[in-house]
Amino acid sequence: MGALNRRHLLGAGAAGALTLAGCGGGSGTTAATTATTGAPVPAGLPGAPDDGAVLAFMLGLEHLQADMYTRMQPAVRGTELDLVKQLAGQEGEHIGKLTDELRRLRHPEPKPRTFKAVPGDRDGALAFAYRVENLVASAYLGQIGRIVDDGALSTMLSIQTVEGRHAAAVGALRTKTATPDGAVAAGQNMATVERVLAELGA
Amino acid sequence: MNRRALLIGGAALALAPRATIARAAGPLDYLVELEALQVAVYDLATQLPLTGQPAALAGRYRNHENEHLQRVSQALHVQPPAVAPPKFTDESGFLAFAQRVEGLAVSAYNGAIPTIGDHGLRAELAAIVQTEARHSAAIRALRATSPSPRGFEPGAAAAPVQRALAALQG
Repeated sequence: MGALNRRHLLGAGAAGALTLAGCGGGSGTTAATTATTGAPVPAGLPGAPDDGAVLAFMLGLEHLQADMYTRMQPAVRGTELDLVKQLAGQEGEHIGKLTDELRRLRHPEPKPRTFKAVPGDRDGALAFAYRVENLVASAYLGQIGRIVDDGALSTMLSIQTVEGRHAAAVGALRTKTATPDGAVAAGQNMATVERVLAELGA
Repeated sequence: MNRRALLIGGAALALAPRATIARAAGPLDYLVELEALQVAVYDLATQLPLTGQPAALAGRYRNHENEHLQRVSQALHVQPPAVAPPKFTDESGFLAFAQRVEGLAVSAYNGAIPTIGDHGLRAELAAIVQTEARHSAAIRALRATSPSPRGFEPGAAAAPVQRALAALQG
């Protein structure tokens, strides 16, 4: 075997070891799997998944939603106010859970984010909330396939469906569709989410 | 010795297929059965004399569930099974049944996805479960119950999901 071929195989072996480490996915609480298709770049390489960074990004979004629901409460009343308070409470729960996860992963917590302004009228506030909730649901979905750690994945899943519910709930108050993407929800990457947030004044 | 191990590892990688079958540790056939049941629910609902939002919702969600059934059965390489037809005869019965099935679907997917090693398949099923959660919320809103009753939706293991699925078809 020539030197070049040997070096090629040595490189492939090392890459294989890294790939297996990446597929192992941290805590290993779930049963063994056989699949490799679509696995992310192994941890430690450029472009590799970073569960802590993803959770920190999501925590920033949760802070924004909590801020939004607090500030829009004067714009709604009755059962709509009850719903807004309930959703605010759930966003607060998400903040607590994500903060705990970041501490478990020994990742720094981001500073809480706020919106520059939230519409003060009922229709404007609900339209704003509908847009934000759909954006946040798409942000969670956009990262699910990149998560490696089992605990982080379960947390992301258990929140992303709730954010989808929130979007549908707010939409129902404005007779907007619960499923703006149709049969299959669309995920968005962080850069796209940040661009929309900038438009929304985050 | 190390060099030898790496050479063997490299050779094994070269021989391995680029893409292995995207299956989880345990069979996920029940997800396909769940989608088939949802199709049956909305199929039956569209045959009822519904009006207004329930009628619009039944038609739209039937199309969604048909697409889910096709996607999930293909992704998991599982043929859609025959399911027992749901037993409701009016709008109230339809919405109550649909709420139960949609809620079960959210728990089922959220429990199944972490057992899957294929990250692409995880994302595909996550996109479907978010839609199921949105369906559930819209139906709950129509029934004047909280569209988002809990702050978190942990997944359910296969066995309780399969029991609930059997009960719904009992």
